Amino acid sequence: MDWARAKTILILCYLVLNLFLGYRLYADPGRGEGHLTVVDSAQVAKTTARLAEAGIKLVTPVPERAPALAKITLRHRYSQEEAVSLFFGDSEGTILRHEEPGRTIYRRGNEILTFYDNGAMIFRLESNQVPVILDSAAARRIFDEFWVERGGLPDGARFDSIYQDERSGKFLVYYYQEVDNRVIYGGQAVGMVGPGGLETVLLTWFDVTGSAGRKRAVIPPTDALEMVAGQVKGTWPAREFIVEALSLGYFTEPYNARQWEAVPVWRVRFRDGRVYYVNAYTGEMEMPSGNLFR
Amino acid sequence: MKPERLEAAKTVLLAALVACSLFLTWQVWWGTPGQYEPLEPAVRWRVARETGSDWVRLVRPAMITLSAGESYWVFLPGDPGFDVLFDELVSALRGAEAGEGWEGFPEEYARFQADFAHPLPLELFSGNPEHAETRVQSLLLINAQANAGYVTDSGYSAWLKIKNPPELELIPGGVSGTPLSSSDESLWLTVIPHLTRGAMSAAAAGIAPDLLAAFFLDPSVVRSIEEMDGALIYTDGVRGLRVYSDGTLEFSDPSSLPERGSYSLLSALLEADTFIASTVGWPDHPYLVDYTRVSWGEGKTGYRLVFSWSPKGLAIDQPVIEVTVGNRGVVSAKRIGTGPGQAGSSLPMIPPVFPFDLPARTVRVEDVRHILPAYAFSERGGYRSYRPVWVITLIDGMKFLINAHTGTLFENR
Repeated sequence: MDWARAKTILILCYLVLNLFLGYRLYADPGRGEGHLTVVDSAQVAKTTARLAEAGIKLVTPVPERAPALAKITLRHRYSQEEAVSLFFGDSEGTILRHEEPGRTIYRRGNEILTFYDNGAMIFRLESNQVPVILDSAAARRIFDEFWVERGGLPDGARFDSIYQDERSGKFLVYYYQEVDNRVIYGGQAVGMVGPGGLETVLLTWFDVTGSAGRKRAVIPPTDALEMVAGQVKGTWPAREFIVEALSLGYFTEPYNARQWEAVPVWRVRFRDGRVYYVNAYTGEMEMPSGNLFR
Repeated sequence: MKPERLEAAKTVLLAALVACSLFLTWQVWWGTPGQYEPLEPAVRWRVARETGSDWVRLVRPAMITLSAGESYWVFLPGDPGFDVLFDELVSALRGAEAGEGWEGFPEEYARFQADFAHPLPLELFSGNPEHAETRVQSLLLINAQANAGYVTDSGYSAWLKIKNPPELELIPGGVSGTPLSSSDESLWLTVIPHLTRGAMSAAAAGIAPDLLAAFFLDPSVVRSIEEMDGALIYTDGVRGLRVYSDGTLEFSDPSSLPERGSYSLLSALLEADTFIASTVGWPDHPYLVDYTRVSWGEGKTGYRLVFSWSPKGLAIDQPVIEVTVGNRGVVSAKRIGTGPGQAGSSLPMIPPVFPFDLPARTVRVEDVRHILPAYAFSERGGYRSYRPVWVITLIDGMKFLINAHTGTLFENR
């Protein structure tokens, strides 16, 4: 056998094969990013049209790419003692403690902190502020000032949105939690602000203790939008609804648990404040068990 | 360049190109974006619906008695011949017609008696909707020489005439028994089997390592929640599985599977059978303990089914599996974690002696409807166990237990 000739032929063959494979990788939109989910403009256009049929208008850009994500593990950030210290601070006054099934109530004067067994906290206060002409900017300022007095918002708090309740006229100021560039929906600081000032603060805050399982591809955001459209179609009054934000994060509820896992979700937020979560692994709607938080 | 050096260089280059092609192939194969493939609702269950179900084994009696002349044999679940005999009874019932009463009672006959641990609807066996409300504790098949067969329930309230009664033969596999009152002219007969059984300790059920794969189509999307009390919850956002430290499992599925209409008791049994068989699996010799019709709105009905089982042939009067079949299939299920573990020394079960003194009355032989051997749960001094007992059911419906090792009234402590 002519080995010299055979090697030359094999070198040429492998060279051609490698060039072909190299081109495939180069032309690949997800090159180098693992199991990336990619959405093309045709898919977005198709989804936008379907949403329009359902009376839903999309005013936010649809992410063209979404990374593969693993589950994360969470635990509660605050113990009861830490929550008492956070909300009541070191100021004077006797704090009364009262236990009820599922929750513990702390009271000092007109301030009441309810610490639920699932880690959620509700702080109610009677403000002595002079009534103000309230708008969303003023509501946010009042809520921020509340936290400044307590050493600042919890770590990783990111401003989300403000809504005015149509019936009461009060404003709801929402912050969500972000840890290491991972958005934790369900980790929330919410303030209800009325004309007399801040009335109620809701807080659920978590520590991310690690990740669980392998990274896996998430569903395209267009699938999540269509799932939401199918869910809300016909359930709302016949008027146009606007999707204001579409984002990828992790969904969790407060659990009476030591530790738990959270999965990636697509969050679809409408202009009127409605929020839907679509499991980014399965494409099914997540069903929050309570209506305390959204 | 010398030819030798050139060839050596070509060899190195070829090796490098081969290695490079392997790397690039791997990159192309694994490095491309993952395709999200939505799961069709129809395949979310791992249940193999097409496999059918041997539903008869879920409604087995606790004891079968066969008698001919002066011979009495008792068959318990697991005994050779038990299933054959029960299958014969069920087959005979399928072709039965409702009758008014006996058409001349034969002088000589063989009899076959199936005693259930809990009353079951006769409809289940006869297939006749008119028998839906007739719950039977025992079925009695009488095979006369004249090739006629009759079936009745324990209260003689429902009669069925059998067209082609099976030949009843004394087949090996059972244990001999003694009739409680052979002189009784009544058609009813209570036979006490000669048994030896030991007590069993109560133990926590094991949890299979592939548990999640049994309940969820894709376990990788399932997340866990470690509750403060030590229980673990697994959920994919819709379906949920709670695992307790003692092995108890609770599953719920309020999912959006297509509606499947109302269920009859039989179809609910089939649904439950396929579900349990494909998830936690059935224990030895399961039997239906209780069933309740449940409503799912718009006239749709399902069933809540409760099962127990018969380890070592004796029924346990304690639920082990509960399944609720709604209008979309199985919507919830529970497996009790505690069950029999290590068995103690086998001892003869002392036959009950009558008259038997209860705190409030004295029970005589003629008060007894039937007697079944069973295991009863006991908790004494923190030690939990299952002990062999006789379950005595009286004609007036009263039920009590006698410790089969001591002959005294059994008390659960």
